[in-house]
Amino acid sequence: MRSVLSDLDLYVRLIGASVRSQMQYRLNFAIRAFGDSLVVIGDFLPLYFLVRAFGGLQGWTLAEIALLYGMVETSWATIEGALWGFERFGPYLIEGRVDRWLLRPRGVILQVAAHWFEIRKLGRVAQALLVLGIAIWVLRLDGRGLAWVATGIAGGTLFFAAVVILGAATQFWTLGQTAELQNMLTYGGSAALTFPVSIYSTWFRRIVTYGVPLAFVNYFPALAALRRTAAAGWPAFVPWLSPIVCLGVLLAARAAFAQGLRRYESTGS
Amino acid sequence: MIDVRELRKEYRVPRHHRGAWGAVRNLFEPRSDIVRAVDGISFHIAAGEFVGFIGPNGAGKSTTVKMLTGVLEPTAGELRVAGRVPRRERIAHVAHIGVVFGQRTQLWWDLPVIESYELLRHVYRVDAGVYRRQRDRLVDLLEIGPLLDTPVRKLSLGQRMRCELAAALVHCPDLIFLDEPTIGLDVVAKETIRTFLAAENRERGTTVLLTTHDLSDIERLCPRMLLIDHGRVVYDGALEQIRRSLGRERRLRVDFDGTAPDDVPDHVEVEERAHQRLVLRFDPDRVAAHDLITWLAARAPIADLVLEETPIERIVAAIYRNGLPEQQ
Repeated sequence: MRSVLSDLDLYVRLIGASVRSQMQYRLNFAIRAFGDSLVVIGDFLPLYFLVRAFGGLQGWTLAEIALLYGMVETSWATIEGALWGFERFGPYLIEGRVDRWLLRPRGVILQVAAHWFEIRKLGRVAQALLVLGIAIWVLRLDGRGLAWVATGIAGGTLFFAAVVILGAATQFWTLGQTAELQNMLTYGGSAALTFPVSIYSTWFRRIVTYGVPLAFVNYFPALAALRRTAAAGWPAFVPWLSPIVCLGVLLAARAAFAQGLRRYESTGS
Repeated sequence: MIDVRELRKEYRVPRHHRGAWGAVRNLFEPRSDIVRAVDGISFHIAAGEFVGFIGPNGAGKSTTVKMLTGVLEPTAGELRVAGRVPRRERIAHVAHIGVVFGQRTQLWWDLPVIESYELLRHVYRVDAGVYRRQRDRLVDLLEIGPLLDTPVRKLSLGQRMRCELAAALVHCPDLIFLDEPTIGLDVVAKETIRTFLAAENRERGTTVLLTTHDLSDIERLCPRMLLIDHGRVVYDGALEQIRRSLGRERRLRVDFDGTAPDDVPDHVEVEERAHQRLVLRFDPDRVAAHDLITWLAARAPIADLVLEETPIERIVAAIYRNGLPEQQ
């Protein structure tokens, strides 16, 4: 317990240092935060017009799609900001920062996680919460529904953390040469999750349910929040698996990263 | 403090097929060569020693240092630092060592220097009282008091290197690894750092392993030097000893009043010849200096002369090129 508290204490201090570092360049920060918030408008507006034009997607109303979008985008933007150190892991590997982390008497995963909080992503989190808030208001979700939305966001946060850490782990094998592969996984994943999984063809639906378990991130919790689990043909316990599946994926990612680190220690860069 | 026996490190280096078709073959039929970066190194370093670690680029110095610091796992051989196996007991091991890379900073680039020390105190879990004493001591010795509130990115290289040393010592390590700490520094900055390192070693008994290309660092600081080449220790001893055994050769520069003589005695080599000047090299065991001077003076009046030992750089360069001669 003491070591967990001490790790948390260090995490907060290091994140604080990264935020103070970014505040040295206020103008740059302001411009990039503004640019990032435009991304949300660019992402969501086309979706809005698309869904409105068709009057919904296979029984999913505009507000329900907005709920899915808000859930995914909230967790994804949070993780992108908080785990920037993993997102940028390839270059760090090349620069030799990993050696420095190994030379300090703390866990490497902790140090990478605490290395940098990209605060401009908070702009995106705020916009995602805005879309989510509107969706919740239109759908008049009750307390039980809100709890499921929160569960979905929490699970999504774990899931995207896993994706980012897994992406960083691949860099150990490719020595920082495949940052693009990492982006494909993360941005591709968050884009696919904007739509309800039910609209996809069977084969793709199977992949995102049983293979890369994207459906557990927001689709099942959203079904539960909307009281539609049974109507969609799923047993009632399925949404409850959501946080467990996401946590499982995160633990697997952590194991892959640890394996990569062992490889690095035996081969060097 | 450090025990190394028959330490080896091999890397697998991909060997690429050539040409456009080769790029495709690289994907499906990867080939690789095994490169032995460190090839059976053995040495022992006692607590409190100050050891210089030198060798040409690619000799295996930094691979060895990475194994000693716990960053790299050895392929074979035994390695213990303060009784610990660095890789297996990484956290305990690195808590007791300090590491400075001359080319890379460990300070927080955009923040005032003092903040890096505060953060490192928490990284290493140093007790507040111990930290304050150590910080004040280092600030005083390295004369960095006026720099503490400056962002690291605004420091000159010499200032930064002094701050860097303090950062590596915040947790009071009893063993420090320094990789080219004086590279690119001016004479004054080099001297400050050398004086500091000598004092840390002498007064606190800190064991120091210094990697450098600058032999004046070694001459000034290291009673013992390990010379690494092709992944092996080719020399382990005092720099002075090398000079005594290999640097017997003397160099004589003579300026004449008038034209320099055309010939020289047997066993004397002409390094440089000008109208009124000769630079000669000779082995004092075969040709006595006074005989040579008398011989020259008999041929042309001498205006000035300088007799020098072989510069140490030259001796070491010869070892890098040809290895250590057999007579050793």
